[in-house]
Amino acid sequence: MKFSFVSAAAALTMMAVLAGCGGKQQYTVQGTILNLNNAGLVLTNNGGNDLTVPTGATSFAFSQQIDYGTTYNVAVKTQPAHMTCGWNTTNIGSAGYNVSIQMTLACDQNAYGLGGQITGLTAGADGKARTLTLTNGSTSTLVLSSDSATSGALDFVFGSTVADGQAYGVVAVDGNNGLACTVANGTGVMHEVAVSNIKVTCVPK
Amino acid sequence: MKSSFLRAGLALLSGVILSACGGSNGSLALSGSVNYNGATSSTVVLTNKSNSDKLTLTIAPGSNTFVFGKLLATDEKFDVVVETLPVGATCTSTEASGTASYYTVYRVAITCTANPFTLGGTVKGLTATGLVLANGSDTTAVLPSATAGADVSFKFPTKVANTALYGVTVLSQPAGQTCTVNSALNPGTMPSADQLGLVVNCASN
Repeated sequence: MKFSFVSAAAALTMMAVLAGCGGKQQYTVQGTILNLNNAGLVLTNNGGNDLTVPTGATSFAFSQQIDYGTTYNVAVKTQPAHMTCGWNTTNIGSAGYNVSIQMTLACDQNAYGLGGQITGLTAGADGKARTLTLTNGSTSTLVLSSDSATSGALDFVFGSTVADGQAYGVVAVDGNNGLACTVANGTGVMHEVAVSNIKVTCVPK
Repeated sequence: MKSSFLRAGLALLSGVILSACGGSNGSLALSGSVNYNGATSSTVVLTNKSNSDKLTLTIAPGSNTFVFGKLLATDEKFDVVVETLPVGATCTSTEASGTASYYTVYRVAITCTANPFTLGGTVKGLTATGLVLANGSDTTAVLPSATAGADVSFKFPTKVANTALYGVTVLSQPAGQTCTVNSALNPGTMPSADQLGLVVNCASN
């Protein structure tokens, strides 16, 4: 007698649980966002339901909920200004596969190369290579060698990029090797395109 | 009878243990912690000058523990010094030397500070607003003194690593003036101290 009560209760519970998984269940297509510092981000789900995400947002949720079993595919329709966002997790799936839909979009400030051309970086009178160290403040340094130059001329790009909106200021460090080097166009603020017009001119002292 | 056998056994055992402890017949493990505030892991080399025991330690940001390999005997002198600094950092220590006892050998505390030094200097002859100086991506705006043309000091907000290169440029000139960074100390290598000796001279156009 007692046992049948228990099993009846268990059967009821099972039904309740199963009903919870049923066809009427709705899911919100949502996720978290890291480092969104600019405006302009627009996301879509399955190519529609455009969602504009404001600056500083740390999460997003589409207005249209989807049914159990429906596939979702969230994509970046428009990148925010000066930033590129990409998925840290999968952005495609089927509602109900997990308890809730969750994904993470991470945004990075666009960064561009910093470079230019050097002239006059010639080997010493003894035939040994001479080097010149360029430094972008204390941010990054670049060592150029006359070995890589053609008739003292060489295109260069710093190893690390500069983020959009960041300042740069390139100066030549005196190598005490008989060359006096000056830098033109060495200072500015990175914006939208790589800098390739820094002119370094070396002359014998 | 039985207990004397036991005692003999114990004595032998302690003899074996002590001999396993190496040359100095010690039983005290010299240990302590290295605190590091850098953004990424680095390496520091510690030496106990008293017995030339050297320890190369990878330090993560935060607290790191270390134990020297050689054990110390009671009353043996120890003197722990930082033989090689983490790149760009400086270190200080407390309770790093003394006479070994159960109370002293585990208290060596070393604190390593990344990017410890301030870069700055003086602007001379500045009468207008708009001057912005850059050390790479680090910038600082300098306003004229209330007494027109009086010297104003400046400091960059981002501290600079020990022995790192720096190079200050004029990112933006003040209205109606042209400023140049005196080349006496610029560009340069950070001394193991603050560098507040830079001079920027401004003259009206």
